[in-house]
Amino acid sequence: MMRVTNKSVNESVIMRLNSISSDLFRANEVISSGKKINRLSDDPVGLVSVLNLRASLANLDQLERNLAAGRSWLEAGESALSQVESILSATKALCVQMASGNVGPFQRSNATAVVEGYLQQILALANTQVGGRYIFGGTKTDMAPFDLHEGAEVVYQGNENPFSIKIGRNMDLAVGRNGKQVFGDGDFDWSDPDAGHDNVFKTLIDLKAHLSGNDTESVRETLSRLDDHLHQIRSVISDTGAKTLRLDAKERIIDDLKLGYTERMSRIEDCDIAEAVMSLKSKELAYQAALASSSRVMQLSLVNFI
Amino acid sequence: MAGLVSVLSIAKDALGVQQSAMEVASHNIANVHTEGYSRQRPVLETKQPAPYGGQLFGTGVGLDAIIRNVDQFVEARLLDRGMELASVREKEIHMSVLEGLFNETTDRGLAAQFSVFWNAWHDLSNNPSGPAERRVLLEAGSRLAQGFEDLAVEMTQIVNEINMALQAGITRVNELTSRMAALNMQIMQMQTLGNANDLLDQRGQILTELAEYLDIRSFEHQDGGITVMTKSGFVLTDKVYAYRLALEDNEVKWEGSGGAWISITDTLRTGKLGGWLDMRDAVIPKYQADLDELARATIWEVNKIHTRGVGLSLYGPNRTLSSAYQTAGGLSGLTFGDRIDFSGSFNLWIGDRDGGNLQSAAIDLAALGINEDSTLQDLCDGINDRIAAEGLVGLSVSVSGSGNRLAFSVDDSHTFGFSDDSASMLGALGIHTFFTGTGATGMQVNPVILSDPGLIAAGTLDPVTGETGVGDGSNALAMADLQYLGATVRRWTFERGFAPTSVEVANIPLEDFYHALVSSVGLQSRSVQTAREYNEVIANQLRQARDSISAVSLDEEMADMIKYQHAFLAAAKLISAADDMLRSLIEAK
Repeated sequence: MMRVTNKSVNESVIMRLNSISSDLFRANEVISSGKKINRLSDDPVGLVSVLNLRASLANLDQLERNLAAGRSWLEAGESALSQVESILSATKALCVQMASGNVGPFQRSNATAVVEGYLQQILALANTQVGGRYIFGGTKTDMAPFDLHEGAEVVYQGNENPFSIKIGRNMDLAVGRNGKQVFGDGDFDWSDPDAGHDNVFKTLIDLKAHLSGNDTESVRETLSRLDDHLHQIRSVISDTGAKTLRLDAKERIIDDLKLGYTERMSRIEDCDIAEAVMSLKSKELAYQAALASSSRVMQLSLVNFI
Repeated sequence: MAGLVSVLSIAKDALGVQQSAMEVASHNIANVHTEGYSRQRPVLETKQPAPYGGQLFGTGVGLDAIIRNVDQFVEARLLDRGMELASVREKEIHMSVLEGLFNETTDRGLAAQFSVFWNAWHDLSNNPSGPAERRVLLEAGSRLAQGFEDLAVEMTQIVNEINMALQAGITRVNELTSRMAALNMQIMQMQTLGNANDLLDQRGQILTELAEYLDIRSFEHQDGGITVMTKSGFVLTDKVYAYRLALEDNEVKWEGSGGAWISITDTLRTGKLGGWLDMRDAVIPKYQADLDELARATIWEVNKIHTRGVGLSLYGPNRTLSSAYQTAGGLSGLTFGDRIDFSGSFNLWIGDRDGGNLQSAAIDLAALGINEDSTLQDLCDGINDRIAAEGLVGLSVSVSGSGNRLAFSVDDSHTFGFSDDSASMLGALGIHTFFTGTGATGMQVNPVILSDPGLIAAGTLDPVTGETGVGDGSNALAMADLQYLGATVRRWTFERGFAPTSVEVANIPLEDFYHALVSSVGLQSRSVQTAREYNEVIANQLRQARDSISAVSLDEEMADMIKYQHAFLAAAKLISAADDMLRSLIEAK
């Protein structure tokens, strides 16, 4: 038989109460913070997953912002180019009309003003800005890429590196455009306009000259040049559409990932309230029982009976 | 002597002995809650019988001794466990402070700062010419650097606190050992006179407290004195002599009998001192080193990419750019000198006031004969030669005499910049970098950039024309990718008494390395908690066993009290009975 002494009764009562009340404290902490992990040592391994997931989520949020920025560039580009397309179509229609023999020199010369209007419109569209930045000038976004020089020629002041955004791990997407390629045939040398290459502005300026010179044959020839430009613009529009689709897909993937990551993170670090409350209740019960029995045991003494 | 007189004598002795026994019980009752008190017990013995009339008659009771109820085996086990427990308790306290430092359970820790930093580069890549984006990035960079610095400072603070605790602990140990020596003296004197029970209890208390501070063992001599020494054999108290400890240059030293101070730091393994030393010399240095390595890798990797880009404008006109890192010896002596690729090259660009008319000079290290033993002056001469060879003017490169730094100075009518640094030379020099500093302490955003956010290299120079667009975010994009890429980081191992060792961990993303660091703090804290709980359970069991032997039970004392009381009453009755008998004899006529 073990001797039970007052000291050991006292100490064991205090120790047990301490241990239950520290359990109670933890249970309360879990409920009030709503988290299973309140300090690193609660679940060091789980915490690493949480940290990784949290970093990934922060990254996904950022990628979504990047996508939004990219989307505004693509949409502005698409809308500008669609307008350019319709203007070019109108120009083509005008061209067809003016190439016909039914039209007189006077009407042709009047049409010059229309073409001049078209030219100005396309020039304005080519200098479209998003948030104060030019989207068709490569990365020279601070300067209007196309400048009508003395009404005679348009010079390109941008560069050839399209503006890009980051849409994922090691994945960039060019959302800006090298204006040379959009409005010219790519190899167009702006410093040497007569080297046999062509661009939209040159075509319109030439058309103006042909109309005012009443050169029906040249006006007709311009048609094929306009067709080339239309073809180029349309292919850029469809490319832009493809990029928009890519952004959409990327956005869906990011949404799915975010949902998955958030769920996983929640499973690791969030507490199940029902379970936590149950465990708090059971600990509370244990604490009350321990208090009741301790106070009884501690009051018992032979002293009371002599 | 026999008959009634003998009865009276026996009764008288019995009265005395029962009183003494009652006194022992009262001493026990009074000390029921005295820490370290061992229950005392009177040992009653029958006295030597005396022959009378051919018979042997008992001569009553005597008090032979008052003994302490102590089990030396349990006491020794408890002492050992106490050392272990004190050590892990201290470690647990400091680990919980460390845990608080690395608290990443909320989203305000360094991990969050990393995310903010990378995201700021993304935002800059979305709008490379935006002044707001540049400001935000500088802020994020400063906070990341500050986050590193804060952690480093706090850990140094913990080390300082531990050193102060060590000082206080050693002072206490010295007090205890000299009190032990004094007690030994008293006990040795008392034991020749009678029992020294209460003094033995006191000495046991001191031994227990001493064991809380350091790992000790002890043995008792015939004369009652004890010798206490550390587990590795350095004597602390030898009977009446005490040997002192001292903290010198943060080393624990032992004063031998010859007066020479011997360092015993690495021999202390348990007790509070052992726990503190474990934290100070093994646990915290590892985290400090890991954090430093991470900061170093972050500085290097970010700078490496940054030096390959270009800001909204070049440097200048009329501006001097000095290297952040200096060396008096060879280039390999630079802080990041080991990372220079001496087969690589970089381009130096010089333009006019507005950054136009750019012309370049390729600085090919191998062609210039620059290697790891070359000095800054050699590099400087090489660059100047190349500038002259290309017929460029406006930029002069020099080595500042006092600081051993390389300085690029451009005149009033020119600007300059860099590109294509395949040698990583600029990063190693600390020119055109994003961060300055070499580790967690002192890491900060390059003041050059801080004063002109336009110099943040979000874009890249065209390698042929040297031109750049303000909307060019290609370098920012490359920087944003850094978060996914692996870096090379050293991971350190510290063991007390041995030189630290390290292994290179290749290809680990910076954030992952930090996450692993945080996790290892959590794991360590967890394991210390588990060790504390385990030792506490065992210590409790031992204490229960000790208490069951040595502590006072009031019930028992009450029962004894009644027992002695009854015996006393009976003895008194004996006297009155003998008295009656004697009176009847005397009164018989």
